[in-house]
Amino acid sequence: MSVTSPEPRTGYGRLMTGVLRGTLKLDVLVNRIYPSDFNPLYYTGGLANLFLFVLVLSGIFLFFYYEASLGGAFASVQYLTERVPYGGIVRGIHRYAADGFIIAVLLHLLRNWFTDRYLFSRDNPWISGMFLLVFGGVIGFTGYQLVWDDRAQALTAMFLAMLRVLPGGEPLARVFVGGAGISDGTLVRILFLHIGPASALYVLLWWHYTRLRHPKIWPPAVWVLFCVGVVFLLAGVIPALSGRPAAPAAQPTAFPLDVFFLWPFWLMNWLGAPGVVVLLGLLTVAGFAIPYLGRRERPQEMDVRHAGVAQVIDGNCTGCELCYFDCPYNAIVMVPSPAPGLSRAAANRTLLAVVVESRCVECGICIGACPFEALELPKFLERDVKTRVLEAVRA
Amino acid sequence: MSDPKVVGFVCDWSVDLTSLLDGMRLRELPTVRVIRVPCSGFVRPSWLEDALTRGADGVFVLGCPYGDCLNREGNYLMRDRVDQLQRRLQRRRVDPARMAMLAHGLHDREAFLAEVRAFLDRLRALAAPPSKAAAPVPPAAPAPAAAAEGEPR
Amino acid sequence: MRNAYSVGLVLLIGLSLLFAAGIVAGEATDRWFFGGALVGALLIAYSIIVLLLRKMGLIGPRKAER
Repeated sequence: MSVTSPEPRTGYGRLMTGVLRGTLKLDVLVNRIYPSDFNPLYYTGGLANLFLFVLVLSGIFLFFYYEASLGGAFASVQYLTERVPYGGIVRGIHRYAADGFIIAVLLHLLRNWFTDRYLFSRDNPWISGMFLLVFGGVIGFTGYQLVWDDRAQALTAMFLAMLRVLPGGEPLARVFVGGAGISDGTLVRILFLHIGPASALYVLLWWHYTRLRHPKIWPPAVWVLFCVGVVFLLAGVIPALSGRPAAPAAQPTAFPLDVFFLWPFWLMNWLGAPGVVVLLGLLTVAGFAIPYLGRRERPQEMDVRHAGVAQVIDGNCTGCELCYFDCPYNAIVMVPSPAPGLSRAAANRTLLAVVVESRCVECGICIGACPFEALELPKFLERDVKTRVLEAVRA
Repeated sequence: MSDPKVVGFVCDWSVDLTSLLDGMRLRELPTVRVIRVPCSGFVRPSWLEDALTRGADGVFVLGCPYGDCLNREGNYLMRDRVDQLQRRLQRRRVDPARMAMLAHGLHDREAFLAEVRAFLDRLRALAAPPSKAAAPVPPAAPAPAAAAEGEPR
Repeated sequence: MRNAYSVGLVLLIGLSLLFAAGIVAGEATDRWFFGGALVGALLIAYSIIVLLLRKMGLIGPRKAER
């Protein structure tokens, strides 16, 4: 009995069920090495948050030295890398933590997709999560531009080509550049486009966490140490370095590629700007659509797992708040009890539990918490459970 | 003495019992009957108590591995409720070994069966269950003695 | 099994001391990339030490999960 039965009838359903089994099999393998409270796959969101924290701290350090002008950008970054003690390390940490962030976010996305953690009202954190991914990608790209070496120059030219593909692209390109040609103002705008969205990430994170009780924001100590350690090690062993300074005459044809952020520009070799714009658009739409179009099981196949949104039985509720504290999705709120109430419980309470239906995922944890039978799942009532228990005991 | 009768509330997201079940029973251990629930946290302690008073020798709840509950906290909440139920019933002379909280994932069939077998062994070693000890009538009749104190129905 | 863990623990503690010495040396000779890489190696060694301690039963589960 379970999430993999009855045998799904569509090819997509069978494929995704296989993927679900594979994902959970990975857990079994990892749990052989790590005790389950240290299993990193249970903390993928926390890992992403850890890398974001490292990015913010290292970013603040870098910001103190950066000069947003055509002449000063490259020179200030070089000064930081070569002359400031540990400056090159902090720059490397910033670069590798950004890669780590994207890897962690992708692991988080894939795990939550493959294990059905986007169903019902969990589409909401999925949407905010997609925004976090898209913003993260854009922030990383602007980061590579800020260095203003030959790679940054090539990237900017390619980015402008992509902008011009869009309707209204020419004015957009002019707004981005800040006039007819690239100037100091361009770099100021790019700096804003790096730090502004990075701050907005915390607003998006607030949205991402707001429907969860006790979100797992921080991974276990083993992983904090390991991830920060890896980032330092990479920064020391493979220093993050600039290319040649950007110059108007330079026409770079090749540059080292950070696949996590710059893969669209690599694809431009084959697809051209219009192709890449269309691809990015399709991927973004597909990503947002997963909770709505990517369901593994049809509702009928879900049986007890789709028993309806929890309902409060007003006559029994005493306002004890146990369901409110147990709901993992903050889907229950306590309101002042409307007077006078028809039952003894209603007359004697000050608070009443109300289920916010748009947040309920039909898990039934509140039913388990309530001592007064004041909550029910519509398709799996108390009396249905009692019948099953009798059946089980009599047989 | 025949095999102890056990009722298990099994979370539908946890272990994969597809080929092990024959209706409600576990094919390998036919005295174990399974009730599927949407989350281990859905189970009310009074249902566990009800199963015991209506004739089950033992009762368990099975959830996902700790840290991997699909609904994030259901298995922790249920573990706490089972702990509390064990202590409450111990005051009424019901052996806490009759209740158990298990945690197994999709692929942990063998570990699950092994733990259930160990549970059955522990039950065999215990004295007669509350429903059979309370009244001389056949065990199928709900015994009022164990349910008399304070618990709603 | 426990012996293997203890051996590993001693090895890692020794390595950590070595790395720490290396960090100081890097700092003293202005070789910052070298020092930084060793900071990373040290943190990774610490993470494995924590894992070994947990597997040996010397430290317990995370507070949230007890």
